[in-house]
Amino acid sequence: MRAGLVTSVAGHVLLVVWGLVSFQGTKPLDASQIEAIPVSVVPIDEVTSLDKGKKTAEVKEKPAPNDPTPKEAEKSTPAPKPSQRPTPPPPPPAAEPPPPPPEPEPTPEPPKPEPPKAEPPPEPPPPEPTPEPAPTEAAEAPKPQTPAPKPRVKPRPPRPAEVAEKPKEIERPRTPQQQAPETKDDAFDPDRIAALLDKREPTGSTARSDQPASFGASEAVNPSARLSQSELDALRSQVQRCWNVPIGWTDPREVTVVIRFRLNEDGSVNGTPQVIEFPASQYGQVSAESAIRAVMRCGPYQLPAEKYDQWSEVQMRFSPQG
Amino acid sequence: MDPVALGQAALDAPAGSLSFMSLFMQAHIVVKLVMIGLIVASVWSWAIIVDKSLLYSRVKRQMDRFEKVFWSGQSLEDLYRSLANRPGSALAAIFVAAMREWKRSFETGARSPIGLQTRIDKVLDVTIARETERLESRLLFLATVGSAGPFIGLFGTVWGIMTSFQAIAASKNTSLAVVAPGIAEALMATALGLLAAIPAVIAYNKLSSASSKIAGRMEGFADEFSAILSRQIDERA
Repeated sequence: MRAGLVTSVAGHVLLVVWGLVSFQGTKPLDASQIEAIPVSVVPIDEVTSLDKGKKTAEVKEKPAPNDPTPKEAEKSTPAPKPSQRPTPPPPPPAAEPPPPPPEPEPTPEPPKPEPPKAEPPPEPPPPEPTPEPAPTEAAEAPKPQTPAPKPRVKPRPPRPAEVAEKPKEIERPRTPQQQAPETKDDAFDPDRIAALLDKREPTGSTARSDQPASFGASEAVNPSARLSQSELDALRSQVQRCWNVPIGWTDPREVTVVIRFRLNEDGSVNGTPQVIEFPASQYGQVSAESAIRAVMRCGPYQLPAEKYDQWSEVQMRFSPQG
Repeated sequence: MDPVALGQAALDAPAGSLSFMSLFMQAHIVVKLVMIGLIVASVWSWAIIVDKSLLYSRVKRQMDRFEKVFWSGQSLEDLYRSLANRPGSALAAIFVAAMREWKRSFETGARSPIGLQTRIDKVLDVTIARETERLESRLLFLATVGSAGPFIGLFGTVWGIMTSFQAIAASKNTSLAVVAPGIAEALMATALGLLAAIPAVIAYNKLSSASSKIAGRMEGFADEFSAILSRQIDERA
């Protein structure tokens, strides 16, 4: 028993000594260097105040009821109406000069439903933005509150329930160049077999929802958010230039193609465009190829580099209308 | 213990003093006792482990040697005479005990074969039991340490953490520098418990199986020897 006890004690003493030695200097963790987390407080006053400032500024301009008057006057012609709606948001300054004369006209009209002159003018603008994004459903609710007659007229312009694409087309080109494009558009629509190119996802929902927002807070507030209408238009027009519509079709649906392609950051086309959807008609193959050719030929596209995320992958609809 | 003083002690403790010794010295008295107890248990259990391992290997060696001699054809009388005074091994002790009973029975003339056989078996059983007990003594201590060690260590840890929480509450400071030493010293109690228990459990399993093997071997030898003596009794009767 003694031998065991001696060995055991000796072993434990050794163990303790080893522990004393090895645990003596526990290395402190290198936590000290990580302690400082740089936190910078960025004032967003600039952004916010810009935003607010624009809001107020636009509201001031809007009271001059440019929008209502032209629309009423041009009720008969469908094309111009949609075009002018979008214009108000960005161009207020430029658009002002022409409308001022009509001012008297609108003011007398609102009084009929609602006597207070001062208030009605500011009110009408707000409803306008809403109808544009979703003209059918959403527009109906807000309109009744404000001048009843005007809103009713507005929804009509998109009158042709035929194709929702038409209005889009017209809207976009104008935003970049306000007045000049209008004439072009007029020529576009009826005369030419206009190539309607849709970037589907962004245009359908996002681009539209952008615009109502742009009434209050302009695109500049959040540049990285989404492609604006004008930029989409720019892309569309760049592609459109190169698209040779196949000949011989009778129904636009016979040559309507949807294509998806990727873009590099410098705007050049990355890889080969991919045909998402092409008609089963005899022109299907041809039109798909022509669309791909158009995309390939017209690159590199000029698009805002900071929004590359938004246009790194584009889906476009090639469809002649007329 | 005054929690405020404890907290102050924890605060005063320099951050780098987390060595074994300082951990032990800072610990609460209960934790200290637990640690000391566990260290003692560890020392004792290792002593037992070493002792038993040596004993078993020695016993096995002796048994091998004795069996070799026993089955070598040497006369049992001679063997008995040579071993009578100091039976070196467990088997030799069994052999000597049985032979002594045999001889004593013949010398006194108590020659009833059945009675003699019974007496020899009894003597064999008793000797085996005594030898086995010698082999297995203190093994239970290992089993106890193995099962209770972690609990004792855990008790020390819980106690230490309790007091260190009190220290936190007293110092109203939850920084790691305040909490860490208390927890470290508390965890050391569990570490010691495991340190004592793990070898104890392993050794207990190993040693108990070895001892039962040896006991089985003794039983087998006793049965064989009993059969030999029984034959002798029948021949002489």
